[in-house]
Amino acid sequence: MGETIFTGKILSFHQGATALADQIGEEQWEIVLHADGLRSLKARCWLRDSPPVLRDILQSVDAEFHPHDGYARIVVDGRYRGSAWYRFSDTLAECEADTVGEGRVSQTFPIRRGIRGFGTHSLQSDGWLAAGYDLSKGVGVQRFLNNLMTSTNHRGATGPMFMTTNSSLEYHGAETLHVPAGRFDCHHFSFVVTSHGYPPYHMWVTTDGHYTFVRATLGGEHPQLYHLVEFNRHDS
Amino acid sequence: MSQQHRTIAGKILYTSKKPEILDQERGRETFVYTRHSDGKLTLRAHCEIDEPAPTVMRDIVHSLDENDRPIDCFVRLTVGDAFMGAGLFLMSDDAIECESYGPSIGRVSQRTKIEGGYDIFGTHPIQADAYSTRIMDVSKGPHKRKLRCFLPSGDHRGATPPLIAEGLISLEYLGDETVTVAAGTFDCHKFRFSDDDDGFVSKDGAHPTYDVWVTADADSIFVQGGVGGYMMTWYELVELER
Repeated sequence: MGETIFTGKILSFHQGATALADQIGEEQWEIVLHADGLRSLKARCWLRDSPPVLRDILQSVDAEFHPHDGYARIVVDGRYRGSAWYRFSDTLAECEADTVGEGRVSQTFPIRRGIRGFGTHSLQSDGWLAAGYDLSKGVGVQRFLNNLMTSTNHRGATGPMFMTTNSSLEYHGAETLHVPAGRFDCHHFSFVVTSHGYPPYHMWVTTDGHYTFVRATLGGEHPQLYHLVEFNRHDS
Repeated sequence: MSQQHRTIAGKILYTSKKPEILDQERGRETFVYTRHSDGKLTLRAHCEIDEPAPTVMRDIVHSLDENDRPIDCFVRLTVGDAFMGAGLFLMSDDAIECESYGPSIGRVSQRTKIEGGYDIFGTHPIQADAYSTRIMDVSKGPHKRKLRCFLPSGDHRGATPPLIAEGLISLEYLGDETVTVAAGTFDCHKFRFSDDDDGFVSKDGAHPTYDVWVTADADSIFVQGGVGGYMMTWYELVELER
């Protein structure tokens, strides 16, 4: 088909417990780089802690990681929570959703290129958010307001529809990390000035321009660790 | 606490029966479906068609309720490695809604009122075809009936931007067979789709006859099948995990 395909698997743990049997979540994802410049992400995310959440995400961005289209479907505690369709242009974001809580929802938001992406609660999708940071300015904080998310719930277990946050990105510099999937040269970011009581969240993504999620740590009362355990690249 | 759902995953290989590429791989489909504790089911399928050109890449997330009635379906298509469209279909008792976008159709909102009900929502993955055969009451023995179908594309390869389409197709239950494929040996129901009423006529004519062998259990997994006529395709289950 002439595409480049990346596949990966991320496991989640409570901090300090990284044995496979202790995992509290799993995300399997696939990214396809298309000839027309779009890159599409499919992610299936399982959060095993009660109430369990099963999330299906399909989202695409253009060559500059500006969102193009998306889909989110959420099942919480074995029950359908909702599904939503998203479309983005350079100036407008649209959502058409059907949710158990809100019913049939149609939303539009004016946007511009350079927004902090579209957060879908897929961990790999979090990695793409870092592409909104202008690395040419070096370490520091870059402010983002009214960021579009599928849900402002910490586990992404509401909606899905459009909800907004004001969290910004801090860049801490480059580091080399070893995780079960291998050794990766990474950019280290954290989400700062967070809203909705979101705990401190540090994230490491690859420096190769693909913003592949490698590792993250979540602070707060129930600190967690997420890391990449499988990673493959297929060129066809 | 563990997830309460049951997961079934598989891979179907697409090959050809055209003499010039006999039995050669011409595509592939991976699918994962989850059966939830409330009886609902979600099928995710990733389909790649290499031949004939242009190539097609299709992603589907399709959910059904505990009575196998459709709830919602998301379709995303890449044709010739370029974005063709992405659409969400929402089904209620009396209507199907579609919210779609594609470069050739622009932004489209559709709502089709359903009068008289319908039998299946066809989404084009091979595994979805197999699951749709559950509409047949096999306890009646071999028989044939017409199905009123809605689908996101009336194209034989499903390679048009997601929009609501409707057609009539015939489905015949032919009996039971035991079939061995790369993924194992399975007791199967055999079915035949046929376009007797020209419900899916394209530039190549009516949809050719399509035989499918489906596991004779509650999972209705595609085991093998093929389309005749101008398509000359063959499909076989090569991996299964459940």
